[in-house]
Formats: sequence, structure tokens, C-alpha cells
Amino acid sequence: MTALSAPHSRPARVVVALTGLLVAGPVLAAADWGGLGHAGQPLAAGAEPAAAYLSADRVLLAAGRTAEDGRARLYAWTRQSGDWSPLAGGAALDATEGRDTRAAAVATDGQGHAAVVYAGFEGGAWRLYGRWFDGANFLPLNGGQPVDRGLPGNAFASSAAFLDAGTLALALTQFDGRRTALFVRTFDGAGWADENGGAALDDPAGGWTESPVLAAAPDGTAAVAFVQGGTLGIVRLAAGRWSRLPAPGVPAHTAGASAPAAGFLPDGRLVVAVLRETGEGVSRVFASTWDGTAWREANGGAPVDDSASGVAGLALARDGAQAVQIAYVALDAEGGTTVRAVRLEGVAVSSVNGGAALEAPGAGPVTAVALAVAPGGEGTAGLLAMASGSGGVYVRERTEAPRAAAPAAGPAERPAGVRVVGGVLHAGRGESTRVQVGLDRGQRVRVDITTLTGSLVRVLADGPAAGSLDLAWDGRNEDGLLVAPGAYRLVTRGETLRSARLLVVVR
Amino acid sequence: MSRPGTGPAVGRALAGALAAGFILLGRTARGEDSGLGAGQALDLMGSARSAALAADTAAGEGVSGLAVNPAALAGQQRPAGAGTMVGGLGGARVGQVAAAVPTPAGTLAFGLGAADAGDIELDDASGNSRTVPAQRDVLATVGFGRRLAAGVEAGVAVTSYRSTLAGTYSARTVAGDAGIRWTSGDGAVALGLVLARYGRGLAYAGERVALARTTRLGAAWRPVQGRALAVVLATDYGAAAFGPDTLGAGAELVGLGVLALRAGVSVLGGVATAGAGMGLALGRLRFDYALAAPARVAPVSRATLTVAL
Repeated sequence: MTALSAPHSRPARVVVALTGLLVAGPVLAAADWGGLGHAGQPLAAGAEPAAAYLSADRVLLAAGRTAEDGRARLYAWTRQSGDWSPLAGGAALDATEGRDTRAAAVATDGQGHAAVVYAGFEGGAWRLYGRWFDGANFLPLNGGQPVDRGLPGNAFASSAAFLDAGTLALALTQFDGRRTALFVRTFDGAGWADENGGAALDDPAGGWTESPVLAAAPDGTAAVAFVQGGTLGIVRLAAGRWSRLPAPGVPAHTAGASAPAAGFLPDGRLVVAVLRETGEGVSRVFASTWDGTAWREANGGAPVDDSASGVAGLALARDGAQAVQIAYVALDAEGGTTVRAVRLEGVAVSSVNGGAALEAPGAGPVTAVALAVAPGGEGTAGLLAMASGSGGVYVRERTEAPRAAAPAAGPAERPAGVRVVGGVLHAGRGESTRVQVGLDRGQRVRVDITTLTGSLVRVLADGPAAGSLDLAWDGRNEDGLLVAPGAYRLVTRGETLRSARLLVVVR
Repeated sequence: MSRPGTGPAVGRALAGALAAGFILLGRTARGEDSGLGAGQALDLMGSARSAALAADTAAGEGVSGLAVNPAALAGQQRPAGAGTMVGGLGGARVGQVAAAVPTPAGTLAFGLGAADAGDIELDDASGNSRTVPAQRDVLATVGFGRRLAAGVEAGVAVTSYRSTLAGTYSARTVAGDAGIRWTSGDGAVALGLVLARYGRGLAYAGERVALARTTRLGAAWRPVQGRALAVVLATDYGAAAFGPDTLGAGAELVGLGVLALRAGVSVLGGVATAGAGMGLALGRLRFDYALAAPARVAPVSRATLTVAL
């Protein structure tokens, strides 16, 4: 991949990677987060953090805050074998621009350089601008001119990633005179070009599009997850053409999707996480994996988070060769927030840090989270950034060599085997039967719900897992329909585990 | 086995009526899809011969028709009783006894069935554990079959069904089956139609969930009907109101009227279950055994002992 020497010259194709997206190569290993960085003190900015690793040991973080002149500004920090220090002398990246800025996306080319794309308000509209970081200084992309489609309407949300070829791809939403539509642009060093012939990539007959998230695959393909009219949409770039994928989510899941996150695994599988409103009227985290043929719902289609009061935001990054980690802001009944993370391998979900809270104690409500991974082999550094409503970004990092993932916390030490909590399920009332599978070693595990005569009702898990699995069944079959009342079997099969337990569904 | 001839035109008309009835009633039987219909235990009843053939709507015989196609009761020529036990359901126990008594008006049949899914361990959030029966069902069935015309038989069966879940939640209902069967004059071809599991549904905890209504159309062909060797080839198609439809096909070879070998396959939701079985008739006793291998659970075995009284 050719490095971008200066933004105004003819750089190589560069793709800006959005914080939290999977980038080919470096991944989070299956290890827990360490203590709070920067001595437990926040970095002086509190809005919409975005981060990426410039190299194995250097990370760049951008976030917004209100400057002394009352404008929303963008600031950046870096850390390399030491403590965090502000970039640009502590000045705002957009200090020369007389506009409010926000919603930054950060990506690196893996060679010590980064691009930061953000929205700036000028002339009554939001436009997208960019900065190129050459390792020392920030320089304006596109000569300081907007990098969006150039349409007269607002261009606000953006996401970008480096394709394997080193092409800069930018996914953005911009008002085209009728609606806010999804576009993708690329920068090949010679200039900016519009993908798909300049046509929008979402449904032209659909509603307004928001929250695009661009993920790059190791083989040079890419995908954009977005929300259109409250429904999750996916478009995929393969063989030079963009096409729409069927959206994941069983029919039982209502619309009301928001805040998607996406990333690719090394084997080409696409993982998408999204907030969806449940029947109880709260947003929960749902995750799905596309294997090239079909979507497989994580955790049996049940939410992967453990927040009964809802989730306010999430971030996703690869974690090991076969897994991703999803960090999310969970709400509690008193209106407070906590940050937790889960690891998703195949369709099996397990807790990170034993399910412990990751936010800084006493820092106030968390408004956003971001995940970033360092280049290199498994077990290298990772960053979790948490924006606090009190006006700072707290960080946790993982710099140690990987250690075995801690088993998910429970009321007692969980032995190998299958434990069922809530074996009598009142289906259709928002209840779920929780299934906890303890494994003595990593192995491929399949967990099915069947009738007494063996007819398959639902697949809860089918993939490699280690330590423990936390699954849930909401009484629905593979089509998302409530099953009839009666006894069912929970059949667990692994290399060293065989179990058949009875469950009862009541309606 | 030969029967008084039925005019070919009447036979063709009845065959057409059966097919039309399946198409129409199969459609009307479909209600709002709700995953799986209630009353799974109703589908666990049936003889070993039925299980091995996987296609018994047109090929059923005598007392076994109480659980599959009550029209078959009309063919019972002498009083008989049968008992069936099912094993291999992972700890669940299922059993049924039935008796059929021919009368001048037709054949009356009675059956009692029970199903016990086994015990369930319930762990609460504090880790405390207790054991309760997961599901226990009791069924009582009354059936009647009668020959309407040469080659045409019809029957009905009514089942009183009581089910208890987790030792706490109970529900009761009454389910009805109705069936008709036509057999050609030479006995070589038979067609059957059954409307099964029509009833009010089960309400365990307030919500009434419909029974697993099914409309089945079956065909049987007996290319060889000799004393030394008899062959039956049968197929069934079941249109389910809830869940996937079923398709079954099977074959039976009977030698000297004593030893029967059977094999069949049924497909439900794209998953095939193969079955095989044998039967041994000695005097007034007949023993049938079947083994079915569902895809994801251990093989299910079924044994039936029939006594002609």
C-alpha cells in the first residue's frame, strides 16, 4: 500500500477507516481490557470519539468539544510508548475554519498516516471535510474543499475505510433535493470519483438514510451498513460492483434500527451489529454474520447485550481470527449508563472482562464508545474510548500479550456442562430462557431447540466457542414465530459435550 | 385381498373428489401461522406399522386407523386389541392401547394414550434447583368406521385431550378426525383423505393456541396381493396448518401372511427421517416393530402388539 505523502499531491488510493470498523490485519485478541489509561483522567473532549492505530504502538484519537469561541471543534491526541499528548499543539484540527465541526471518522493506511473526515457547518449546510495526518502534521484533504458529493444539501454522516488496494473510500449521506441518500466516493490519488456512477446506493424509493458504516475486507471488498427509513440496509462491493444484500434480522425483530456497526473477519464473513427496538420499546444490540449465503443471527436471534433498560450506542472491532468484540453503552433503570463488552464468535456470545462495567467510575453518563485495533498479529494493542457527558473521553487499552478470556460472570463458578435458567418460558411476553454452556476447551458447538421427536425448531449456536456460551431463547422458531406450548429439547453437541435438556414453553 | 367391484366411473369420480377435497380443505385448514400447533402428543400416537411405512392414510389397517385414518376401522373384521409403546424419545415415555369391535352398523373403537416427556430441572437465578414433570398428556379416543358403499369407507374419531406443563399449567380440549378411503374393485389401489386434529385448541396460561390441524392425502398401491407375497407401496402428503408440510413414502413386503418387512421415509421441513420395521403374525397375535431415525435425536423405536379376539 503506497503511503499518502501529502494530501494535495497525488496520493495513493487511501481509504479512511471509521473507528470501530474491522481493518484487514490487526485484530483485538481474546483478552480483557486493562485499567483506565491517562492515569484515569479524561482527554479533554467529550463528543463522538473516533480512533485508529497509526502503527502497532501508536494510536490516534479524535473527538469534539466546544472551544473557547463557543464553536464545536475537533481535537486529536496520540499515544506512543508513553502518555497521551495532544496533536496540533493542542489546537483544534479545524482551527482555521470558521465553522462548527463534529462527527469525525478516523482511519489509517497502516503505515503511520491517517485521514480524519468530519462534518463542518457553513453557508447554512453541513459539508464534509478532511484532514490528512502525515505522522506529524494535519493537512487539509482536497485542498480544504469539501469531500462530499457537492450537492447543495447537507452531507453529515460519513464513514471510510482502506480497501486492500489502498483506495480511500468514503461512505456518506447527503441530501439530494428529495431525501438524504447514501453515496460512496473514492480517492485514487488523482482525484475523487463517485461509485455506482454517482447514483445512490440505497433504495431510491425508500426513506431517508442515515448512519452509514463502511467496512473493508482483507480481499479488497467492502460493505456499507446503513439505516434507511428506520430499517437496516446492507450494500456490498465485490468485483467492482455494488449490490444490495438482504438485511439481517428475523421477522420477529421490529424495525426501528439505529447505530449500525460492521466489520469483516479474515475469512470474508461480514459481521453487523445494530440497535433495534424490541417489543418492550427499548433498543437492544442484535448481531448477525453473513457467510456469503445467508445471515446467521448471533445468540439465537436474542439481543447480545444484557441491558434490560436498553442500549444507547455501540462499537465493533475484530477480536482474534474468528471473533469480533462489541462494546455498548447500556442504560439502567435510573437513567444512568454503563459500558460493557461482549465477544461474538460465530453465533455464540460471551462476556468480556467477566461482564464487568468498563466506564470510568463517577464520570457521568457515557454518550458514545469507540473501538480501535493495532496492526500486527493477534494479541497486540487495542483501544476502547468512552465519551463522558461530563466533558471528557476516557480510554482503556490492552497492551499485554493475550490471556485466556475470562469466563462470563455468574452467581457461582460455572462448571463445564449446560445450565438452564428459566426452563419454563412464558413465550410472547418478552421473556427468554437463558442457557449457559460451559466448555472445558475450545471446540465447535451446536445448540439446537427441537421438538420431542427431533424436528428442528431453532438453532441457538453453531460455531467455534471457548470458555462459556451465554445463549437465550425467546420461544420463537427459525422463522421468528412463537412456538406452540409444550415440552421441547435443548440439544447441545460439541466435541467433548453432549447434552439434551427439556424446556417448557407456556402461552 | 379383493373387494366387490366399484364402477370405474364412480371410482374415478371419488378419486377426483378426494383430490379436490384435499386441495380445498388443505387450503382452508391453514390458519395464521404460529410456529408449531399445540398438542404434540397427538402426533406421537400410532402403531409401529404406521411409523415404519411413514404413509398410512390409504394403507392403514383396522384398529391402527384410530390414530391415523378412522376410515380404516371399517376394515376390521373381528374384535381386536392393540398396545403400543414408544421408546428412544430421550427419556419420554409414550404408550397407547386401543380396541376395535365390529358391529352391524360399523366398527367401534376405543383408545387410551399417555405421554410423559420426562422431568425438567428448573434453576432459578440464585442457582436453586427443583425437578418437575415437563409435560404429561392423557388422551381418550372414541372412533367409528363404516363402509358407505362398495370400496368406500369413512370414519370419525374424537379425542379428549388433557395436558399439563411443568406440573402447573393444564389445558383440555377435544379434537376430531374425519377420514374417507376409496379402494378399487381389485383392491390394488386405494386413496385416502383425513382431516386431523380439528378442535378448540389448548389454553395453558390464558392464550388459546390452535391444535396442529393437518389435512392428509394418501395413496396406496398393492401390485402383488398373493398369499405367498404381498406388496404395498404407499405415499402420504400432509398439509399442516402450522409449520411445514410433510411428505411420506413407504413400502411393505408380507411373506406368507406371517412376516412383514417395512421401510419408509418422511420429510418434514426439508429434514428426512428414515424408518424401518418388521411384523410377525402368529395365529391371533401380531407383533410389529419400527425404528425411525430423526436427524438430530436418537432413533425412536415403536412396538405394537395386536391381539385378534
